Amino acid sequence: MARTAKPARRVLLGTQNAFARRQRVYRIPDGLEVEDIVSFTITCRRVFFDEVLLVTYHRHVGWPFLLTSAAGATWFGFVALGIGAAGGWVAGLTAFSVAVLPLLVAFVLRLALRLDVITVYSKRTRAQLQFWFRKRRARELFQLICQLARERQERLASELAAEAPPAMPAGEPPSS
Amino acid sequence: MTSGRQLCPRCNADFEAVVFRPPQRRSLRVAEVGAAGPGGDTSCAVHKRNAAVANCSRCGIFICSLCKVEADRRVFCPACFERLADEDALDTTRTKYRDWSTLGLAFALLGIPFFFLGVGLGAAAFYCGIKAARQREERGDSVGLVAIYSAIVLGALEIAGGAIFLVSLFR
Repeated sequence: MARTAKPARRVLLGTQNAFARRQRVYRIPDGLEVEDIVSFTITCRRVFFDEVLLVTYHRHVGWPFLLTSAAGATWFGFVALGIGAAGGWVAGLTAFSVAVLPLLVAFVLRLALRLDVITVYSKRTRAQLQFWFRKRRARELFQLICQLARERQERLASELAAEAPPAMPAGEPPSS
Repeated sequence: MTSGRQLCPRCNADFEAVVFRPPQRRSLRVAEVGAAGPGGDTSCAVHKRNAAVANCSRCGIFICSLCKVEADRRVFCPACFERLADEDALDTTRTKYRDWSTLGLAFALLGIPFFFLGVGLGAAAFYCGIKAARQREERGDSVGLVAIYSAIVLGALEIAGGAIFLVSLFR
């Protein structure tokens, strides 16, 4: 089948990576497009601005991340301690700085900065954007999404009002 | 829920909420054949009482406004629309795609340790890279060029390296 029109340009708003899947959120002219990528397959869904019911801006710690990094740091800390005891403090310090320090830094950074989460709920689905470091960008996007949804819904409301049939003129009821 | 600051019941932290009340679309008005008088309207192939408003662009049957499905700037009856959507023949209803960019990059990276398979893996990476470039253009993406070019360049290098390796092996 021949293609009728080129799809509109998409702008990447944010990505979200988990253990087995990745998610990308794009802005399209009439809403947000969420791509779930599992192995090598992309599944798309859309949140349309004229169907948005709620937009939230939430800042939370993310306990799974904290627990995982703390457990990893503890485990590798013991390993580094063992290496240090067996091979000298230089080897132990190297193992510590390679394996434990990044996890500790991530743990402290997450505790200090927390994770900013924007969630857009629509009638049928939802989109979520997470920001660890770019707080200003998160705030700007939250405001932009709210503004676009508001504008779109106001436009739709005025279109529907314009389409409405004219009201019946007030007059005497027909006589039987 | 109202707009403004709220208390999250899960984490007991504050969060900001903006509530929207999207306008409700009015229910569809369907014209009946009887309203048009004798010989005035053709009836829908599925709903005999409803007046037809269009023809299906695929099978040609008369369809009423209840049955009319618009997709890819064409009008379909529900049966044709479902069939085309199942076959992934309509651009607007496609929701699953192959991630050619990641696939190309995976083949390209795999070709580094398995350099002796460079011709095959490099060709696969090159092919996936080209497909990814086309997909990026079709979908109108503004990012993702680095992965695509990496797959194409690495693929080409692996093809050349693999070919040199094979030639040197058999000489």
